[in-house]
Amino acid sequence: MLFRLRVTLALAFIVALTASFLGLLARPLAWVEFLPAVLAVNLLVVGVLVILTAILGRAYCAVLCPLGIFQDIVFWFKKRLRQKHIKFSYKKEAVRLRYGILAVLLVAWVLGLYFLPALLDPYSIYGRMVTNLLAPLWQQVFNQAATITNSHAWGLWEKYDIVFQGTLAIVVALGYFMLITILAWRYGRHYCQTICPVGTMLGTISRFSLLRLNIDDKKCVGCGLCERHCRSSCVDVKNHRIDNSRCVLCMECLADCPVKAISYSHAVTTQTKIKTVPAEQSIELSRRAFLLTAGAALGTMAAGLARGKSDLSVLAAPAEKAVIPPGSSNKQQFLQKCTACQLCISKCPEQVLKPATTEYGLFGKGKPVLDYRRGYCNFYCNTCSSVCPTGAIGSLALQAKQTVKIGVANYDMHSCLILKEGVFCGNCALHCPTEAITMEQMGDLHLPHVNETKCIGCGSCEYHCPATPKAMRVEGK
Amino acid sequence: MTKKMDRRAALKIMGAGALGVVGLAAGIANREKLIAFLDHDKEQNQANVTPIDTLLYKPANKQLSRLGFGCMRFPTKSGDAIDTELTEKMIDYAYRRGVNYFDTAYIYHGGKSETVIGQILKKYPRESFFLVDKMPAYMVSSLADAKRIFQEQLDRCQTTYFDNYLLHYLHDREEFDRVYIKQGVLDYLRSERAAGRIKHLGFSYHGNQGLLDYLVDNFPWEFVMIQLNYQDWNEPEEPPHDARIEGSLYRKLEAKGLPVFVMEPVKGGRLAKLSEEDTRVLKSHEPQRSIASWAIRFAASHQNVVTVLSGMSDLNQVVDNINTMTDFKPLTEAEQKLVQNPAGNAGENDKLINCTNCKYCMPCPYGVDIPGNFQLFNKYGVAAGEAEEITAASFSKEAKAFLIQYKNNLPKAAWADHCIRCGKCLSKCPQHLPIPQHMRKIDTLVAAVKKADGRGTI
Repeated sequence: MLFRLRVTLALAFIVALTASFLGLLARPLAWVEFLPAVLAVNLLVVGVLVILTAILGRAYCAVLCPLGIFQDIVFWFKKRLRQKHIKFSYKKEAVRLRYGILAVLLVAWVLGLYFLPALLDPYSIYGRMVTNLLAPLWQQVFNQAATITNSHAWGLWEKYDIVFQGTLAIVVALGYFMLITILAWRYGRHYCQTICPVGTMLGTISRFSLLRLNIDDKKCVGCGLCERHCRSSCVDVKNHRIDNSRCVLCMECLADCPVKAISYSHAVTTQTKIKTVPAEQSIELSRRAFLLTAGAALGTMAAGLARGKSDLSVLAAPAEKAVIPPGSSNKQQFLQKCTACQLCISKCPEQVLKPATTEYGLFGKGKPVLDYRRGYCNFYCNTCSSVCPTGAIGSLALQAKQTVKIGVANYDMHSCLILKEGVFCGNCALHCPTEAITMEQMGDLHLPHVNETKCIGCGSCEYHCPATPKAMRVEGK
Repeated sequence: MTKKMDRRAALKIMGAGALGVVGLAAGIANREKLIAFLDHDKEQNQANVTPIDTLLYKPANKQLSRLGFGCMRFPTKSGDAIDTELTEKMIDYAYRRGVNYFDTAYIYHGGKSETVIGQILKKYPRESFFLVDKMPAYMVSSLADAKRIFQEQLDRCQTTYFDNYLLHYLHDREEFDRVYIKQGVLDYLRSERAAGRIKHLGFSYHGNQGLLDYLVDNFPWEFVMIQLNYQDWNEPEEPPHDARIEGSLYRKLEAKGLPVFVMEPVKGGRLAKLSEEDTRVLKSHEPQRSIASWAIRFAASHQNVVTVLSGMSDLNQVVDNINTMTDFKPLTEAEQKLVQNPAGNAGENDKLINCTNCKYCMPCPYGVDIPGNFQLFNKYGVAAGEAEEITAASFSKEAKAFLIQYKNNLPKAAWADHCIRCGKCLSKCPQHLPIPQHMRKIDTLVAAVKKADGRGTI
């Protein structure tokens, strides 16, 4: 029953989240994700998630983490195709590795190496996989279907304008996809129980959660099915215990147990019955250690957020000229908070946002940057600022967005076709939404002139400039 | 294990490809149906087929079919490649019914039209059909160019002569003087006529009244091809203006006693579909006849018109046009008046752009798909309303449909906003459209609809 419930909830959630990435749902669900909520200082969501974990255990990992559910889907295929090969056994918790990774990430955070947490944040990894791999495939299929429906007048479907997100972005997403798929296929939820920083943080709380999966040693016949099927390798059937810091509440053992010896219940009922475990095996953190970890984690994150500037700027330095989406007070803050989930890139109706390659320095890759060769920032659109779950792109009302200066246009006379080829142009001035560009008389000619106070850097002039190289180029502020 | 692998493969195919497969199947099925129809027709007893009407073409002393097959709009496969199999079967169908006039040109289908029609007609006796080609003056800068192109045309068409040969797209006195007189291309074509590689020499005309008068008064021609349709036809009492000069042009040719061939009788397909009121009136007058048939019959009803050309790209058009011209009865004077203004509200279609999709303007140096923009505007943009009046509150279903169709059918790089009004297309347009003005209008409309749609505004 609980197994069914959790599968249903998980599927419903991942479908909804993915649909919002693919443009099928207007309001994305990404704000429930843990790391984005922390970055957005969304105390309500963080609080609810922490309390939820303290009561239920890692329910977040079971139904709200898209990468976790994705791994479960991979694992489901394995179950269907290679049932006999599923032979997990209990493994000791890799305490040093888990907390080592978390510590490194937190230190990196404080030092301003914001790319490191983003690299391992499960939600953002999933976002990148959808944006760069699933979306193009889905768009192809959808466009084919649209061709049919439109030609038969069954309805008028708007096709996607399929854009190439760049080799690097696709290769990186493909790398993640292969890695996660192979890990899930061979080791189940290995990522979640040893690598994932969010998993480690929540696992620290769930170690003491109110409810958990318990093995009733009176009913247990020791068949070992639960241990063999446990994708987190956290069921220790010999000692009738389940490591709740790693258990992701997949509920499979609960469903599988032939004698119904496993229950989801209050911890105390069985803890008294735990057999004595040799000291070196019992790597449980004391409550004091837990408080220390949690305190250190929250403290460093708060410190990082508060400082908002990088000490190792050489490595994370943003190129001065890159244009960031409107809504961020400065580039530093934007890069600090963005986890490169690429939701904004997926949802940008003008497709002017693309995953950065080197625009933000070595470690800013994957974060959104405006590329005016693909389009321009529509004056009447504030999509990116309203979907960003981390607050990297701050929320902006449309009217406010229309006054935000994200860059300024520079006119290069030597590239302009009016001078180069003597053609009649002025397409930049014609398409400027703020009338910052005017055609001024210079001798016999009318040449564009940029009023830098009026210019907001939307890039309409650059996009509409017919010259190669562009005579109008927008540089980030 | 093999069984399990199969299941995996099946899952993959079903999951990813299902929709695509259905789509392809639907497209293929339709084409297969057409081909099956044509194959079936081929096997029927030809004795039962009523041949299409013909008329004596005096210069050749031959009977020509009243309907000619224009080779500018063959059916295409994905992309712009001609669907040669379907084209051949359509041509054969027309040939079996007596269509014997085939009109191609150097630039149609990017030069592939000549090759395709030559290959298709090769199997028939050469004297059983008229093959017609044209000299592209706009691509000729010297006599050598003309000679090279003419030889290339013969080679592409796999023939030794053309029955009718035209000076293509005469519209500009300066160009005519430069190419045909100064470079001596007209004399060269006359020498080819003397040598028998051209049987009859004429020209296709897209200019104003004055140039036509000059041409027919000063040079000997055996025939002329003009555009003629009921919307651009002016009666003697109406002086020629803008596009409405076709009546004047025709009357000049009739006075000169020249045989007339007609192109664009349906205005690039625009007269195949009229407004609801106009359709109702014409249908109540003759329920059996298609709307397009009125345009074909109007053109053919003038006494000097020998053959009416139609660039047919699908089988329905071929069948309909052949039916129209089989057992042909000219429109009465009353019918001619009726079709020019069926519902009594002529002029309401003024918003349409007079483009016939001939693509002479292409390629645009800045990437704009000019005919593509105009087609979409005529089909969906006019219904969307005026740009200035579109607001979020008044946003209509039609405006939304225009935006979606525009996005679906034109890549962003070909949108009207890339027109910089350089004007290079202006001299190339046989309809003399103010293309940059129209582009600006479309761009403004798209921008207004996009703004009113509020996409991206949250």
